[in-house]
Amino acid sequence: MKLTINDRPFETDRDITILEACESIGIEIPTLCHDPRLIPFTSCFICVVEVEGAKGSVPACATKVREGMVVRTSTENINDTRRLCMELLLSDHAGDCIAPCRFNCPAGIDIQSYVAQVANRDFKSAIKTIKDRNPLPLVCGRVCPKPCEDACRRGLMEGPVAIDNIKRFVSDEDLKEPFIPDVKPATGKRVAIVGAGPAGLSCAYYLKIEGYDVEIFEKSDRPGGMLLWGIPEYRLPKSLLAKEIEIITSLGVKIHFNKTLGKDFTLKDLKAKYDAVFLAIGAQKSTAMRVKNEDAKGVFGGIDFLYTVAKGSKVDVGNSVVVVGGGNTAIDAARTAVRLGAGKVTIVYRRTRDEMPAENIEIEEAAHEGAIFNFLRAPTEILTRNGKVTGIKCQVMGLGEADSSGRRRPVPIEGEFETIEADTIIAAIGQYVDPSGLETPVDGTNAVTLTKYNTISANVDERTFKTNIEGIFAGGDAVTGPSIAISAIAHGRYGAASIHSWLSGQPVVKDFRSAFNFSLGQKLSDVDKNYIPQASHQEREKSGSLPIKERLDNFNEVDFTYSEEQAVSEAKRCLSCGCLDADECKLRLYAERFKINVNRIRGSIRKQNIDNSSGYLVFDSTKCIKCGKCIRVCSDLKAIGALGFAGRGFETDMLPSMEKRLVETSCVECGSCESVCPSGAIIDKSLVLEKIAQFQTKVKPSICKECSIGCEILTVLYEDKIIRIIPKNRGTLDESMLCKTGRYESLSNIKQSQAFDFSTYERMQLYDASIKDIKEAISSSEVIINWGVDIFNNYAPVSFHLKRHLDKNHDAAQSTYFYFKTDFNIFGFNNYPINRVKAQSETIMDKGLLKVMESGKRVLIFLEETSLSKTELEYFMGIKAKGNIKILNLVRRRNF
Amino acid sequence: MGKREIVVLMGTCGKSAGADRVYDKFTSVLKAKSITGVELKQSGCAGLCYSEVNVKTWRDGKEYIYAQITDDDVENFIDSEIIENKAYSKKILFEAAIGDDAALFPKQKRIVLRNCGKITPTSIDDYISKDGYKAITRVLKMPQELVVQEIKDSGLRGRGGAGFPTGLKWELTRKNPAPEGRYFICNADEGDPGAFMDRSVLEGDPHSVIEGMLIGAYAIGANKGYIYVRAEYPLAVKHCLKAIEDAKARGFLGKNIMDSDFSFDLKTKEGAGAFVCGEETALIASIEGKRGMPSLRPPYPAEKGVFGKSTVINNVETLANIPWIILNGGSKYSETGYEKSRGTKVFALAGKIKKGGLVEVPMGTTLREVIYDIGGGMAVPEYKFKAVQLGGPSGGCIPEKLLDLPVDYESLVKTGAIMGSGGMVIMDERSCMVDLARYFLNFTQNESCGKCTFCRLGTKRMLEILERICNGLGTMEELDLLQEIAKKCSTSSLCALGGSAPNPVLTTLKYFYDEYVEHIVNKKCPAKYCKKLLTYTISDKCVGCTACARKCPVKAISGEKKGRHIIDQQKCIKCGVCVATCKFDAIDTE
Amino acid sequence: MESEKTITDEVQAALPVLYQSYGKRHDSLIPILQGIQNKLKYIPKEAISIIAKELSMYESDIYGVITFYTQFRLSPVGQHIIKLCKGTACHVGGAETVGEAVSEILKINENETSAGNKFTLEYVACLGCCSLAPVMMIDNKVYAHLTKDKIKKILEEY
Repeated sequence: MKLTINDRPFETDRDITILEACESIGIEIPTLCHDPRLIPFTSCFICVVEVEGAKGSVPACATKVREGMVVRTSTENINDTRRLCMELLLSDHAGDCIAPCRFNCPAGIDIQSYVAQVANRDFKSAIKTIKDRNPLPLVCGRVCPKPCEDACRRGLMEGPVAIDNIKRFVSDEDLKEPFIPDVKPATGKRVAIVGAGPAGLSCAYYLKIEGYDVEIFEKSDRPGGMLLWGIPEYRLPKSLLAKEIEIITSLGVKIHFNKTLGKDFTLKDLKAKYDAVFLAIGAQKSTAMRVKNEDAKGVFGGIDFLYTVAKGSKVDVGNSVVVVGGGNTAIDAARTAVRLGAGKVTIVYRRTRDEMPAENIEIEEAAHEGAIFNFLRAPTEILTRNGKVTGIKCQVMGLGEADSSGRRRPVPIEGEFETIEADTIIAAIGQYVDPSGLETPVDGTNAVTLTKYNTISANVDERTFKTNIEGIFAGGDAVTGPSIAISAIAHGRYGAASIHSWLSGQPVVKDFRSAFNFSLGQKLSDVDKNYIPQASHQEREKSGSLPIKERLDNFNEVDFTYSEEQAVSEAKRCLSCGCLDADECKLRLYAERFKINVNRIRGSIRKQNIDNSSGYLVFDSTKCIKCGKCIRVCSDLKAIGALGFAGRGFETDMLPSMEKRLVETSCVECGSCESVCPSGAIIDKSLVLEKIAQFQTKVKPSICKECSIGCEILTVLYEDKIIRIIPKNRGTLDESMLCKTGRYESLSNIKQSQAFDFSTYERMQLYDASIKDIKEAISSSEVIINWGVDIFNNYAPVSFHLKRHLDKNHDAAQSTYFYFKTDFNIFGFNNYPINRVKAQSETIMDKGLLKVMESGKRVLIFLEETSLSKTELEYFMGIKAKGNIKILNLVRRRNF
Repeated sequence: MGKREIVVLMGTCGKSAGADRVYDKFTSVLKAKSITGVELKQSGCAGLCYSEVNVKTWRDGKEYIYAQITDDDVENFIDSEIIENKAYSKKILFEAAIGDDAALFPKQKRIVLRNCGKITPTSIDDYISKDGYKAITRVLKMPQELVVQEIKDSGLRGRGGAGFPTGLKWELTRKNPAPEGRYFICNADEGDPGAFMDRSVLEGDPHSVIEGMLIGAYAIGANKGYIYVRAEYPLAVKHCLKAIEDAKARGFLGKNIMDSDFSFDLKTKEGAGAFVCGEETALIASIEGKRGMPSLRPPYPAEKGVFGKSTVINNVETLANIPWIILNGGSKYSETGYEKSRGTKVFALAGKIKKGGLVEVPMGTTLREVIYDIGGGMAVPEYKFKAVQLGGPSGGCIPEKLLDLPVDYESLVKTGAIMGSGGMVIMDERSCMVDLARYFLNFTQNESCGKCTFCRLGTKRMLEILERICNGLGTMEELDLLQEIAKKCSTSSLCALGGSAPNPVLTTLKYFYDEYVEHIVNKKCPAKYCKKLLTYTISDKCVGCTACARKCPVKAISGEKKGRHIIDQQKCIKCGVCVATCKFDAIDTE
Repeated sequence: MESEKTITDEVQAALPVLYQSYGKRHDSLIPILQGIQNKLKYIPKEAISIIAKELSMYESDIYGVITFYTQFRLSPVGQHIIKLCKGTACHVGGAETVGEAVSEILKINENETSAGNKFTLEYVACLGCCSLAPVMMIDNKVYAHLTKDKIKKILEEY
């Protein structure tokens, strides 16, 4: 047969499908419902191709090749069809590929994983997971405004998981015996970083790990930047911050203190001396209110005020303090003022409580500590006497239309003013980047370009963080304007990655966020509660804090870290939203490949129906794409029939039989359905670990030792622990379909050291058999074992009456999965041919085989060349060791 | 014609119009009046469904069809017809010379319906008296190839919808080696809403279908067969079973038919309610006792059909033609027709038409002739013709401007509609085309087997878009998406159900695009059908009976007793309850 | 004390005749299910396991067949079954209003059974009586040209 595939001639004499033909010449056809061992089902229609002359597109998985056929596998029309097909499939899908907490974290920390690790009491792994993306967790555990928790699906129940408190616990734990990352061999390249704040430190940490020689230039005398100067002691004790930074410097990061850009060194100098430069100079200047008398005595900028206090300088705030602003800095200033002995602290904000950007908990704490809020007031003038502040005059405001941030715009109410008395006024209304030192040309006549907001212009979108000048990168507040610590830390990490790529000539590694990710909703308010994972009620753990009266005259840390029990219990609240199948999911793979826009087609989604009844498997109908593979494997190949179709049309379901719970069906929990499921609709439960997440795992091939069949398996290793066993060639139904014992039950026994190691295996001596050999062997043997499909089907008559038994017990499963057939009849053992299905539920065969081997009888094993590779069994070695066993290897078939 | 006959036409349609009662009344009146020598007979539907109950008599060389006979008519009818020997003039629908079908059914040509309404379907003798089983007798003496050739000569094409040449299908099947025998299936799973030709034929003339099957089975060498009939047609099932039993008793079915070597074992299989089972591969799955999920063709049934064996599947109407073709010759059959469509086609006329029912016309007759000349035009003449829906959920809507198209497979496909099995639903201005598309999509979505993506999800998403449009929530972007999904669904579905499901959408978009736009942009339904797009107001016809106010589920109507009421448009949820409630036609919709 | 016949007993009683007519083959499944339903007006779940064993089929397959075809029911129904036609002609002729009327009179929706277990309301794709639209079928009797008033009268007949 001659045909053309993608304009290439193709010739075959076999009766194969277009898909098989394409595969044989390396053209991959995407498919979700096809499995080579099953009769084509043609349900997904992703595999469509164009065949000249055919009406419409043709499913490649089921269409046989024909003489003269002209096939095209990837035309625009075909790709459009596949794209629409994927969009339709995903329009009936629910779930989150990546957990929303991770998605919402600027640094993309794998939160689900470390929370799971804490739930498993594996704190060492948890800190490793965190530090993979954030070298300052102790800091973040205290100061982060927690965008992760805003997205937490549990927020739709009793309240979000206290992710930040868990992290704080883990990092406090870590201080006892800090995790030191492996540092790669030195590259010999040098990178200079300007600024030892969160961005600079983070960049230094990750560059150091990659083997760079990193030096930081810091204008003050201590590291930490805004973390040190801008965050009051009672929130982040300076001693703790120092300890965490010490871990970074201990890797070999050098910090030059009291070096100011533009004064003590220039960018040009750095560029000349170093291979790359990272600018992380922050945004440290307080924004002025631009009202009359702002230069009066007793008026401070918010950050200047905090800096002065942090420096340890004595500040007399007087009795009454007015703080202007609604952000965290305003709250920090107010709470600091309380601690400095102010009798009355008033926070003046031009909008209302609802619009305040400060964290809720901070606002509440400030109120508890006695701060008074005066909303809808905008300062117009500072009142002074003798150049010293006496009060502040404010315009009374009302709320108008929503502005670009979605918050309602404050509008002045004409003629209404209020005057507030004050000894000190702190203007915490914003900060900006001080660009001094950047204006001098670096590269010939070029200086670093700034944006119209006076921030450094660097490519954040594509995560290169490159400035206009080759080799100079920038990140953190200096680029974004004042932002949160984790954002700066993220910039440091991504900046480091970009610098590494640039210096090593690699393209920038894409973030997981740029890949296809299905989401139940980016905003919690968009999420349909019906589709979040189910969990029983459990309130959020409360962390303790200092009683109010113990706070007011000191700067002791206010909030306490969780106890271990609290942290673990809180971690268990995690709903594990991120799909455990995300890395294996073919839906996601194709969605990414065909660049799917999931928002184009939206519609009703089937009801969530989760069957959790099995101890090993979870069924989630909302992730099912109706490919029917699970049902077909269960019925057609395994002859179990525990799963079936129900209903039709949009409401078609693929369910445990009769809509029963899985455990109530004939299910033998072999996991074959899980192996073939292309999406996360059927997944394994975590058997070894309490909680599992999208952990970094490794896969190692081995052989199952639970019975004599010796299926080839893959052990999934996490931290050198086998956490899962899956069949070899997962996803295509390999011959090695495992059983409950091998796949799940054995997990409790198996240890890594016990897993079969191919490298130590030595192939034993085999005899090529002739008719004479066989006759002789039979006559001199007491036990004959027929091993393998062909042996059983073709030679069984020679070795007594196996065929007879076969006929009697013939069924669909047997004809497909005869691996090991034996007849113990002669010796009084179980005598019927045991097919694999039965072998899985009962291990009669193994017991029988063991009995034979231990009997000391003369054993003959028939084995064929083709099944040899599948039967490299430990039992064979055992047999050999007994010395009473002869193995005949039948090289050619039909010799008799 | 010495003996007088009174024939009551008792198809499902006749019965539901009261034919049973009329028949019983005849029996009792004849008895009461001690009239003998009059044979009271039952027959099937003559296709005059709009005028049920029909009664037929013969007198003085003339045939009379009476319309709308009720049990109140019976006494006078007998007095007039039998005692006074005069026509019961009040209710004559047609009178013509006996056997002059052309006069009774102008513009029609009755081949398939030749016996419907004429013979008693439960009487094999009646069938035999109309040359029944003569064709199979003749065929059994013919070489099989010649039988196939005869059908090929006739130009007969499958009447189930797709129009595949029947003779060729038989020939291809014969060419497949079939050491284990073949099957011959009659597809009587007439699931298209709006079509009832097959029901009428099976009810009114079951033997012609059986004879057609016998001929086909002989020609292809099949000796097992099934009539796969919808369970929703209890009378058809009953008549089929009776016919099979009688045919067996007479030696037309079973072993060594009429002492030949040919044996044919025929059974009925009742469908269990799945439209998709009209599709060949799904029908096969259903016969085998499985879910009716289609599978990819090839392999075609000719190669691998029922139980994996070579199979021919023909529909009822196709088969009813066969004995006629054998008796009159293929060339005679092919004299009638238009281009590649030969013979006649039966249509089921329904909807807003005056004379709904069954009509059989020569291929090539125009749609206008069918609708106006035969169907009598619009049921309510004030409302203008808007569209004719052909071919049910797989077909499409044809607008006024295309009514002069001839009935022909190829011509109809060009419009985006299809010949289909023959359902013809006529719609007037009061029908909303968007709603109609929504209706069909709802149907196909419910009937989709759920196997392949485009049909399972594509139809669902199209339906949702159409629902939004009907509710005034649609957007023009969605209209583009609707077209996109529709096009892909038609090229990338496993079977004909999914492949043709978008036709109602595509044709209404093609011919009534403005109506969609009107729904979306101006939030108006020109047909005033889509409730959510209507504004309800109370006119001065209101007498203040308060009925609507009491029924209104959201209490949007207020007013004094005996005073004109008003509807609070803010509260109104446009449920239409007030319109249904008002006895004074006082609620206007806009 | 006379114990009442269980569902299983009823199914067991109905089956031998059906096996005799159709044989114990996979392709007899649908006729057998139809037979059970004709007798009991629904298919009890108990019947599924019995038939599965007898025909050597998986319960899941039988369940899949039952839920695929609209004719089959898995729960008991009222004395009379109303099948309301949703065909094209009926739709164009106002089937929606007819449906609403039936629902209103009997206070039931699709696939529900009225008080006193009298009527079960089902919708069917098309009864093939298109020129008599709108129509409905009660048990095996077809009612044509339905209007709201007519429905009331018809239902009162039962």
